[in-house]
Amino acid sequence: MRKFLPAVLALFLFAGCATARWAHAPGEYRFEGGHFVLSIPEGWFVWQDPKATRVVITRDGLPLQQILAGRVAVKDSLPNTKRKFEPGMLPQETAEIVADSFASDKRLGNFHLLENVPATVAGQPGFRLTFRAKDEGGLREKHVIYGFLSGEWFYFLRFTAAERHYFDRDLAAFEQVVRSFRLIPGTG
Amino acid sequence: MTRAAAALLVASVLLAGCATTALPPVTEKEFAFEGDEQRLWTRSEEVQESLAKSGWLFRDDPLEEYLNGIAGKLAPPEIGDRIPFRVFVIRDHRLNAFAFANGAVYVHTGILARMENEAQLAVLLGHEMSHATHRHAVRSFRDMKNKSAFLAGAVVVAGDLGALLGGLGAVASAYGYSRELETEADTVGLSRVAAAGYDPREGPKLFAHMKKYLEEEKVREPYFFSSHPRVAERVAVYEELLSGKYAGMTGTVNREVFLEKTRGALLENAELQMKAGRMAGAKRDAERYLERQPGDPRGHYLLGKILEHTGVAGDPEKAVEEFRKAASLDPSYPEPHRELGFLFFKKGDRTAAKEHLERYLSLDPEAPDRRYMEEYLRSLK
Repeated sequence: MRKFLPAVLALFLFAGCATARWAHAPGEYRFEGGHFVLSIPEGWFVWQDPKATRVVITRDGLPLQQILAGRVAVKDSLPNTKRKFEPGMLPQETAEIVADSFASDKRLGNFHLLENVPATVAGQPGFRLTFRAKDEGGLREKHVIYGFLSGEWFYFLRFTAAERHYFDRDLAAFEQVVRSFRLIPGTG
Repeated sequence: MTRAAAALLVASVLLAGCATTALPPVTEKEFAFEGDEQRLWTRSEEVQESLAKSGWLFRDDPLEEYLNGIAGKLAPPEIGDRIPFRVFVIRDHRLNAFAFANGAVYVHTGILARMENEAQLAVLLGHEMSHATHRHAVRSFRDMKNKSAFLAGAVVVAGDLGALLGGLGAVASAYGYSRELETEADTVGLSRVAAAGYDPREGPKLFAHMKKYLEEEKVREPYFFSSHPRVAERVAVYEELLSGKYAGMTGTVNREVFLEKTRGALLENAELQMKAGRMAGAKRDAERYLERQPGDPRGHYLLGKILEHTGVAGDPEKAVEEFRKAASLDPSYPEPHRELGFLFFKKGDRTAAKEHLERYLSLDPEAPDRRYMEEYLRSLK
């Protein structure tokens, strides 16, 4: 057994290197799972997981602020609603489906839509939603979601932060991420 | 370990596990709340406070007054002030109702929207109130504790007890009790319904609504029944009671007052269903609402929104009619014009689109989606 021990230890250590972890990785971040690229602000951390279906970014911890970026197939429903996107839907219609999904989420209390405006993301016509809600623990949060349809996919970037202090402080960093967002050509 | 020590350990485990689940109902003379039960009440109050702040309660004073009036008729006189029953409504399209140990009863808008009369409501409330009067929460907790202690060979310590009480109290209240306790609630509840003068024959009809809901949802069992006897078995309990103790008995149903008092909840439920993408259920609720309130522009507007998305041929054209009706019933109501403007914009009817979009913005200059309309109007020029 002793002569195999280094090999066993090496296997264990290398297996550990493939697990998910938080990484400080400012700058361009290429997410193959969603076929997009975005820029992570300085001082923020990204969850690196080979099995991830979305990009998760935070600066001080997920309960305080988080940025999510990902995509959903048009044929699939969003959580909490059976309403579905359709290819070619106008941004106002896609925004309504997203708003309804959050309004129907039992984990969010006191949902209140603050703003629903057209927006351009990655050169595509989309929307920007802002709403306020309380999480399951009663913490007041504000959310901003950008979304757009491209082909068979709905892409989104979402910023959630504790309304007190963190939202106003970190909103600019989120907007920077949105401006950096672009689709990887020829894929998806 | 000696034989004596082992025997003592086993006895300790068994005794620690064997808190009695045979508790008299609170209507009995020789009744006293027990320690773990008081902690359940405290935990219930904490959960209630969270619910009150959650934004998920449906606030309608006349409806709450009505529901609490029925609860008052059903509460046995022996209760006195031992359990202060209060009924609240939760904005949720699922068919559910639950009661906490402290007498707080929560009814979903979903189940209110399905019921047809006050007698069916009384059957539901009578059942839920019986869970409280017969102390099902603490009996379930003890039953689980007994099984856990026996199986794990451990005694639950104070810190775990608090967490377990909280978790179990909420879960059992919302997700259901054992078959035995549910049958007891059915039996005791129906006796109170009959004593209050309601028609007990409405009992099985409540479960007919549940059965239809299950079929529509294509689920084996809604979570309301997750650890309950199945719907068919519950119907069998009621039918046995009706053919036995309550054979030939009739009573009041109070359909009209029920329909009047619950119509706000029905409209609310239609909107909840629409947002959840449950268009068939939303349409049913909106149409039922308009049967009661044909002159309400909000009902016509909501039905129009629903018809836009049912996916049924001909419904989008009907949606236009509903929006027009809403606008004519209340010319100052902005939203129907927005929907008409948007529909005509998508169809390519530039004149009609422009007319309605401009009307919407003039009626609601601060509309949160104003910028979409402005973009559409610019593209129409």
